[in-house]
Amino acid sequence: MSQVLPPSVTKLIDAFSRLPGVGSKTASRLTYYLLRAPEDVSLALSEALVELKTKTQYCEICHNITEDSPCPVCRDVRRDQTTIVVVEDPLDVVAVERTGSYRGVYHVLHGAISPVDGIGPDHLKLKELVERIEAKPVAEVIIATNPNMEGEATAMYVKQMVEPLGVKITRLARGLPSGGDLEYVDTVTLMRAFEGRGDMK
Amino acid sequence: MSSRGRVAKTRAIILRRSDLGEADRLVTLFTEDYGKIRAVAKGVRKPTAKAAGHVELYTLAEVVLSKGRDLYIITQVELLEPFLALQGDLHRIGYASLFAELVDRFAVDEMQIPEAFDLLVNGLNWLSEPGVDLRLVSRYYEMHILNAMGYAPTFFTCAIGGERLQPEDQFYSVIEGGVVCRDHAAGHVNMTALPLPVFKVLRHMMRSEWETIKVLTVGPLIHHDLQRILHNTIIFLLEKRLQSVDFLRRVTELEERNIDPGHPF
Repeated sequence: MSQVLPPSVTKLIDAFSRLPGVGSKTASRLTYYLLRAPEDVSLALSEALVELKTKTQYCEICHNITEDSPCPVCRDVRRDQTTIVVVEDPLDVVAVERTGSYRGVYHVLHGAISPVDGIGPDHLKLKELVERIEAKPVAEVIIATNPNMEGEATAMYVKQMVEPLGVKITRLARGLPSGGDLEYVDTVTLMRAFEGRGDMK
Repeated sequence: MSSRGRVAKTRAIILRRSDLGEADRLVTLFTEDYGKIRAVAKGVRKPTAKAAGHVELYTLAEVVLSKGRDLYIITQVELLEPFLALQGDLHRIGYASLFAELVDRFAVDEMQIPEAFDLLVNGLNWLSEPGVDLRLVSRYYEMHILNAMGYAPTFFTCAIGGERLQPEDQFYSVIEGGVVCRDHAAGHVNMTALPLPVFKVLRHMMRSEWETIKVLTVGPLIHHDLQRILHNTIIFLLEKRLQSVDFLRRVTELEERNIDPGHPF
């Protein structure tokens, strides 16, 4: 195959196939699509790729990905700067923002504790969270790590680190998904849903 | 289970997981009937996935597997035992992760090891017991996992001379793979002194059921020696550090700092 295809084509196929979830078939298909598409499609793509790495950085306060530090959320005076939602990844910030009902700020840990994979507390932005709370008064820390083993371990670790600072710590509720079906729910989720049941308003 | 497309049902403990593609997960399972295997759980990262809560780390589940092109595919899964007591405690999570790490490192792919499977299930149960000495559970598990994997150190005969060992102070050698008597230890390097009380606990742990061991009260000095001997043996065999042990150390440090707030960060 290498003799048939020009090097500039195989180079792009190789680059695509290094992306997560992209195999060599998909990589070839994307490459041939770009070959046939108008030039501005590939130019826009290449420009976006360059800007992705050159223009972005971590926000010095919340460690989310941003073009200007501090990020727009941390600079926004209309947002409640004393409530911090702690999340694992930048995409989790997007998910919380989509609800449109949260008016506080964030702290991105960039991962979750996973002892088997060798990801310990030092690999996360935990020390930064403590320093941030020490530097500026915070009323509430809402822990929104994923509801799985790694996320729970991270949540407990955050709690132990933040607790001595005398801040209110809360954890997102676990329960039934909207549109779900009770008979298919696993026992752990159902138990948590019972524990976290609320008064009907 | 070698031919493609065949379906099989087995009990399994989830050892590790990683994300795969859009919404799939790649999981390493330690199964009762097929040993350690890697399988894909399709679509479980979607919030509406029915199977999501059934594929959690360090839980016991019944899985239905079918053989795909390269990997197994989990087609059905039912959570049997969530080991809930582990989830609320960083130390217990650390030990559960150590138990899984040891099986993952020692087990060869697709080799059935029933003793190791039973030991892992029992070990997670023992860890869940309230008020249990977690270090003692771990040492007992470590010793018996070495045994199940075929690496049991010798505790009853000298690892060099082969004669029966007397109940007295002895030596321990990671390289020789067990206890060495005073006469044979002479002149050898890399021998660790093995005081009689530690030697006795090791022997007792080797030949007794957990129910007999769990009532023991083991002092901090003996605990220290037991951990050193077993962990050095494991690290020597694996030629690798144990990630979970590093994590457990960090958790203990954090706790000590919280008890003594004067301690700097």
